[in-house]
Amino acid sequence: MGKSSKDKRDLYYRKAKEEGWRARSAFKLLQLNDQFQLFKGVNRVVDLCAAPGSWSQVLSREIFEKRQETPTDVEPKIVAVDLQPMSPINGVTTLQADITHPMTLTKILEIFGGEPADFVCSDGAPDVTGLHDLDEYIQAQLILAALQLTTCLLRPGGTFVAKIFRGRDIDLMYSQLGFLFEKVICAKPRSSRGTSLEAFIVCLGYKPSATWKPTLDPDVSTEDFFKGANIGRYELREDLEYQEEKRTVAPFIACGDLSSYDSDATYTIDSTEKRVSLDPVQSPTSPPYKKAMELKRAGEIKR
Amino acid sequence: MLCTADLVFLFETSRFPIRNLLSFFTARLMTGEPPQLVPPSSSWNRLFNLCVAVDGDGDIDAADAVGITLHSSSLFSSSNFGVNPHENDRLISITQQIEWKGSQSTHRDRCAPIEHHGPCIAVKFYSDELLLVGNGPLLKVYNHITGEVLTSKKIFKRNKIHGIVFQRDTVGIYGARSFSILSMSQILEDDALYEEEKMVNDWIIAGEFCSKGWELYLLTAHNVVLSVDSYSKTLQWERSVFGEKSILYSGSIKVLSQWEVMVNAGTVMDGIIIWDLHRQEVVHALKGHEGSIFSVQSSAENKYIVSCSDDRSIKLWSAKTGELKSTAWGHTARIWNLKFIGDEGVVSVSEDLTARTWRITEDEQLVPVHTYELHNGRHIWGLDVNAEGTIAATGGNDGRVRLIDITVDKVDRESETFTLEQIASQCQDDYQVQKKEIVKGFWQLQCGLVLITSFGGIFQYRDGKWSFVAQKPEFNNLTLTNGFTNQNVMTFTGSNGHTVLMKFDQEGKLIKEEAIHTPVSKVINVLSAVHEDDLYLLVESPNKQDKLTLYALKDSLQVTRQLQLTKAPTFVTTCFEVSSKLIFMGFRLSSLGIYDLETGEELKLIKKLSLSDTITSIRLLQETGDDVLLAITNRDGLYVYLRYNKSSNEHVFVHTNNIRKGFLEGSLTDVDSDDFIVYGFKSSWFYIYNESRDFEVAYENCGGAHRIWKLFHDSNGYKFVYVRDGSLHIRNVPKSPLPLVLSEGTHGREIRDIAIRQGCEKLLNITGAEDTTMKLSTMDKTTGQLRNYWTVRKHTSGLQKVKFLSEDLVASSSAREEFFVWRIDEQFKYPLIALIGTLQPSSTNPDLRIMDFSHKFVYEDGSVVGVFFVNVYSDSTIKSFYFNLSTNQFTPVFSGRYKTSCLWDVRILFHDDSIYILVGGTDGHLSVWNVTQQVPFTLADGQLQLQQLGETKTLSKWDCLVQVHQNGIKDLEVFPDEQGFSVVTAGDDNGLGLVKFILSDSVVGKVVAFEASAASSTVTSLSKISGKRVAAISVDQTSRLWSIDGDKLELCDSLYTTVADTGSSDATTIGGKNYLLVGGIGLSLWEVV
Repeated sequence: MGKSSKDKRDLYYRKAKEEGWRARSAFKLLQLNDQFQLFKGVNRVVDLCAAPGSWSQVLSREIFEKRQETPTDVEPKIVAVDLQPMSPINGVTTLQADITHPMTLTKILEIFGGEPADFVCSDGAPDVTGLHDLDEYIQAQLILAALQLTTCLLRPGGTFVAKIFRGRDIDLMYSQLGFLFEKVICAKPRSSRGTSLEAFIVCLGYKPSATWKPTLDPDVSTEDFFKGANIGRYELREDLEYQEEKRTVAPFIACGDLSSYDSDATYTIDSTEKRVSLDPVQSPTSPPYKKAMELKRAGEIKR
Repeated sequence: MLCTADLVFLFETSRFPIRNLLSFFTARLMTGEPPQLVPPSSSWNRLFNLCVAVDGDGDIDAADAVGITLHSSSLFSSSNFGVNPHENDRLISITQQIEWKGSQSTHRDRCAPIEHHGPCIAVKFYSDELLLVGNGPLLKVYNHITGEVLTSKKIFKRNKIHGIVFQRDTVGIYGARSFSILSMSQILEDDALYEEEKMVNDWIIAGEFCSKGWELYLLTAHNVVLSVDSYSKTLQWERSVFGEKSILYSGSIKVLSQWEVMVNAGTVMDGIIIWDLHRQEVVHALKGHEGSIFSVQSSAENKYIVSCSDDRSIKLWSAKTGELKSTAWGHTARIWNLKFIGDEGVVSVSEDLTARTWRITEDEQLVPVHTYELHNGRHIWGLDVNAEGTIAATGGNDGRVRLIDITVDKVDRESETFTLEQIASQCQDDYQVQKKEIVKGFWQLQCGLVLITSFGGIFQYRDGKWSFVAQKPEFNNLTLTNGFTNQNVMTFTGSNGHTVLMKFDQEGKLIKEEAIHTPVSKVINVLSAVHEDDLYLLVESPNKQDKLTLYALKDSLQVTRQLQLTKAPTFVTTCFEVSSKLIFMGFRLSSLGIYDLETGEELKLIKKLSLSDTITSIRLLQETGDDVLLAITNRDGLYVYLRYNKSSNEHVFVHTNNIRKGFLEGSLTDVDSDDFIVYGFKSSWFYIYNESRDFEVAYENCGGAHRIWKLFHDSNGYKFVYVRDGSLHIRNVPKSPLPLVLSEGTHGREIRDIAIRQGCEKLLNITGAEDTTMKLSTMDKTTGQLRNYWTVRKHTSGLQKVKFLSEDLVASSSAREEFFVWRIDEQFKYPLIALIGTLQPSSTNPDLRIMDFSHKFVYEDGSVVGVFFVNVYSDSTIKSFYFNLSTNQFTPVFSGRYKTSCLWDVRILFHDDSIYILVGGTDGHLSVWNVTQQVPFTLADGQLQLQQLGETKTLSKWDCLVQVHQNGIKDLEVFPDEQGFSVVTAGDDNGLGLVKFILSDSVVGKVVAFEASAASSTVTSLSKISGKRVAAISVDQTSRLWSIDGDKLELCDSLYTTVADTGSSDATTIGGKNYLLVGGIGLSLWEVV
């Protein structure tokens, strides 16, 4: 979130800055929680692909800080994991780590005192290339990577929430998650634009497989990890025959009150109100193409 | 009639060569039993594909064939089947239309794809004639020498083709988790190839055959190589290197020998890992890039490795040592693909729509050679270089397939540069070049290029040699040079009004010379034009009292007429053109003067064609009696087609558009293709651009405008001649022997809306895209071949909606409150489109979007006088306008507001004598408003009659509000009935709703049917199909056909489409056939039965 003219048009964007959220996506988790009571009775939470940290901020305010007001016997523990560094958040342990690595699992379990997690969430999305099928595959890989870790640390009955893009193969994902959870719902918060394919998969009631034991291994691909899990994923066969995998449509729930702000609408800011450009809560990170941009600005790259 | 035969057999028709008897089809018609198939290949799908191939007038068509596949009983509509009974008396030839008894119902409700235009990710040269192209799941084989498509075969059921490899005549095709191994003859001759589709458990990044072709190696996204037996197509083994299973975005396999195979793996975060496949050992870990690696390739002799990443650099590495040799920069966005030209050079393609060639120098540096702008929208994905390293093929997100001649010294060979000393030294005569003598003017004649120096030296360049023509010392310094190319006539005019005319013969010999004198105080400008046999020369003085002098000459140099024209005050003439009756002059301040050629009288002065700048060219395109059609360019980038009638003295702009970039200096018509070509400058470059097809023809770094230059064009190509640093530069752009555009393609960005013109034979359509442009095109109904006419650039933000209002009127809307009305003119050989109306934005909020609009025509005395529009906005406002079709002005009618949420849909509806609007938006509600009292129209016999336009009315609260969806209503279709109307709604919540509104004194609405899981993703677009049906398009890439039966929604058919971001559609019926266009990232044509 930079200091840009987007301020004017996107109400959630502006509101996020005003309320001190690192990204407007904070409202998405808040609205998901309004609908599903995700934070109720939750003591151990893992936020995956957490940077820049807006979901961790929500978890911190809604779970950690609110509990401080009414202390209970258990102090909630929140762990945020990302490959990128993150600035600290009150009540959140940040780990700069790879979610597919077993060491990460060990560290989280250490923080939780060996207890399983109640809630795992991920708002991660890869950089898109523009090749829709590849982008969807990579997003699915990201969800599977999050799911790998989740199957190793979520308590039975626990909740998993992840960002999805409702593309052509999302029904495969619905179907496969359906083997691991009691209920799989596709939720769309009002703060997520109607013109975007973004939505969130809310998986309620984790039911671990009785016959399959998930084990993280850095040398095992996500495909191999889920081998034997019987979640309907195609497994490599010697005859390499084409098979249609099972597809299911998950029920759709729009969350957030109809009276809440519409992320597609244009709101006119009261012209009497002083238009101040707010500084971003956290500065954007430097992209890999930073040098190319510098060369272009210097006139070294033309045409 | 009902067929009494019990056996029918199918042939391929003459459009596809008859190869053999393909299939038998038996039917026990008299008993009403379903027909049975007795195919040579016992597969239903085989028959399906066969039938798809059988096409043409009256033959079995694709849709019928789908029926066979899906329902195993069907009817054939067939006339003139033309089957040879093959001396088998059980086979009959069918000459009449037939129907299977008792199976009529199954004939309906099917979708069949005709053609697809969309991202092309894989291109591969197979031989010196054949190019294999992946287009979605289709593999197309082109003869890239002739441009002909030899075959188009569906390879995968759903997946897109991402890569093609081959070893001798065995071809490996892969995409996503699918692959197929086929022989070239299978590809060319067989059908139902998707039956051969195989599958692995992970995304395939790269493939390559082993040196013998026995095995196909597939590299997957987890850095694992699978070996597949080419014959049995079964898995042999899997290999990987321990600890290196990170996700790959790119990779390639280099087979050095049967025993030595290198895997180049481009990871997301860890640079490039080069590993030995058979030893399963890491050979090099190449570090230095930032971000994901998007391509990594080995050179032909494996001397080098080249790579690119998210950092937008290209790095050259030693394959042997892994040492980084060179880092090159140039692309302005991500680079997607790289290919070596032998071991000597590299080609790169990028998101920035360019392909660039790079040379490897002796000291192993990568240096840029040439940049080609090839595609539209965003992204070039596919790239290959032929075996000789002379041609590259590229495939874009726009679906366009291009060839480029990449011969490294091509541009050098096409360029010539001469100093005056070099020119003089080539001549026999002893011409002494003076100090400060420079090239002052030139013209390309048929016999050669003629130039004049600042000291009056005249030379000719012909067949690669310079010769001295004459010296005219009177022409020192200011010489105004003109020429008449086809007549081999040169003219030189000095500032004193002295003009010398020179006539050359075809061999370049000066055969005649004449002089004329124009008695003016000073000459500053001389322009030339040709009309049929007449040559015209216009001489202009800067003195306001002096008139413009026009000479008419014959190519014998004889002046036949002289005319004095009064020029408009303060204007300076910049260009002129002559027709058989008229003179046209372009002036500064973007004005155009029209004069009578007979009398010299000014007939018309059209001021301010554009806001600023100068008219740079006027070209006569057509003359019929008193009617002329002109193409006019303005330096600021605007170009127009103007129709003028001499007797009525009326003019109309029939086409208006803006070029993509830079300054516009002129236009021409390509002699081969009739395409509209424009040229001009952008910063230090001169460009030639094909406007009709939207691609750059050539560019030249000439140092910018403000120099002496001229572009010439004939059937051999283009010649751009300019003077730089006193030297003469000639850049030839010869007509390529290659068909440079193999496939035309469409927008390279998401197509947001599609409008098909209704009620016409031709499939004329307009697409509006995220790239802010609209494309006017036609599609061939049978082959689906696309022909683009114009890329209309007027909107400054991504299109929201585009609709035909009538046969010749179009309206379009987008953000920034842009709303335009257009008129299509089809009197010329290709359609033209002109902006006729612009709605002024009401607010200063630049993000306010016009999400949808609806219209009805307004009549007065039985004829159409205007259009009633209702627009809905992203801030929940609803505004209505009356558009006067004679003044092209908008008058507000009413305005109002729904709530605060964004509105997505609006329709104006008539019922009895009342006028309603139906509005839908992001909150999933439909609202209906009776606006009869708010409009200055009355409704009679279904027509709005214009009354007195008055003050803008305010819309009160809606009359009815119904919640249908949980969130946004993406699209709706309305079916009127006696009580009111039924509305089918498409929801972001995957649902499809059917809402019934009963209209009387009040409005009552009720959801009568709701399919909550009508799709597995957002339903984005609906199109009405004959027989009370709708096609519903959704982001799960499925097109579903629903019928509305009373209060029920019934699913009739569902078919997968390869168009991603599926978001728009439109349908039409032509000759009893329903055509459906589906848009997103690409465009697909379907027939719906």
